Amino acid sequence: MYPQIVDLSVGNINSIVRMLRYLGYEPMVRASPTELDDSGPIILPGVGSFDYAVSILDDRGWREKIVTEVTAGRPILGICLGMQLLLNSSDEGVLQGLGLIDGSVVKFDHSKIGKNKIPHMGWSWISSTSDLFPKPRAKYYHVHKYHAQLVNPSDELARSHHGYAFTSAIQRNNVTGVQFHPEKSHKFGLYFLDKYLSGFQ
Amino acid sequence: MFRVIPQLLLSGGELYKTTKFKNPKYIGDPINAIRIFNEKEVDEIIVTDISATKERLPPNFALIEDLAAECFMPMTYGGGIRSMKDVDLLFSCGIEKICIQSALANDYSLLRDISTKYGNQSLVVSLDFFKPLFGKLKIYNSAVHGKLKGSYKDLQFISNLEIEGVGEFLITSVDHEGCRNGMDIDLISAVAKKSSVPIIAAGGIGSFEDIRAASVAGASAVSVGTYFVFYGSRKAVLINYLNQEQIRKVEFLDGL
Repeated sequence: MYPQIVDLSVGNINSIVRMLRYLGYEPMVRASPTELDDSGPIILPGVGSFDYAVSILDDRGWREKIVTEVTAGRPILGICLGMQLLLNSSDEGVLQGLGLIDGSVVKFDHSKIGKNKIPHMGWSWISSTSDLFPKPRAKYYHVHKYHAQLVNPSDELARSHHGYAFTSAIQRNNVTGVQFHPEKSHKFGLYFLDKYLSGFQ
Repeated sequence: MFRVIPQLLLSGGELYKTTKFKNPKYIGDPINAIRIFNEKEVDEIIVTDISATKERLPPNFALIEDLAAECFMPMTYGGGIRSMKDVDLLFSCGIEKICIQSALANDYSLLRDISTKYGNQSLVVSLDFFKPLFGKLKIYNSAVHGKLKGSYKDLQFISNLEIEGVGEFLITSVDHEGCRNGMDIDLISAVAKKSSVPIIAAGGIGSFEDIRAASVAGASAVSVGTYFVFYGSRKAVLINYLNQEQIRKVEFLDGL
């Protein structure tokens, strides 16, 4: 089982590769959809601007490949911007996301964040009933200016807090996404990635 | 959540501590220090090379790569960054954020290039402040050993820098640095009020109360140097972090 990491050239994938190797996996970095093989789940990391990432998804033919594979049942894990790309759209841009889970990406509500600053940069404890995350509680490192807003509350996998509670992880069948960075969240990140991937051995 | 970030000062590949930016004192091997902080599961790490800028050296990329490989939390690096090439190399070494200071003495174009390519969240601007014997609080720039544009009373440059895409400001009070006597709370308040992005406050932490005071003043994080370095009875150096009780207290700092 080799996790397939989609390299959109947005953000640094080194940290995620390093953490996966530390866990004993051998991730395959794929710059083009033709390189993708079916030996493991798709991991979609990303940092930066929504529209820029979408244009790369389209220009390199990733959109069609990902939607086809995922619709046929291939698991996918989106991280940070990668999670946002799984949704329909974002306040940050005008282009369409992959639409694999219904929802949009919205700006933090300034009237509710109190003296917290944007971007949300730092650790936040999450609340979740999923066993993908360690018990009794887990915290993760977040870096983002926008957060998910789901159409179906049942697609919410975890919530975090920054002035107010917001959806920070999503899941519907074989589609999973986390707003936070497991690869920057030491033992909590290691636990999550290991739990997620060990399901596919 | 409020962040407590150990800051390591490198000089010639070794770890040092300074007092008011002077009298560097050798501490030990940086890789060991990073390993210890990784084991203690610190929030984040800042590594600053204090010799690179002064001696016009490039960053020590090989060492930085080794340091980054030791930790699974965000690492920020600063010191000797002069060009986009330096920045590209640093990110490929595994650094999460880069910290710019002396490059600002000339112009802000490097900031714009970095934030466009890597995103605002990857860019920290470091500003050091000091109080001369006479006169108003001034900004100190290590490359030119003198004033940057602007002074503490007029913080317009903070907004100007934000426009270039700065993600966070690292604000250091030189007068308090290394002394463990408390931070410059007025400075932190003034900058936190002016800035719409998170502020990391540095310089002078000597107790948990100092950390709390920085949070109340509006900082989103503190960068800690000397307070985490303990000189044992036989002049042995011990690297420390917050104890469990202090870590629990940090969680309550939000919403103050």
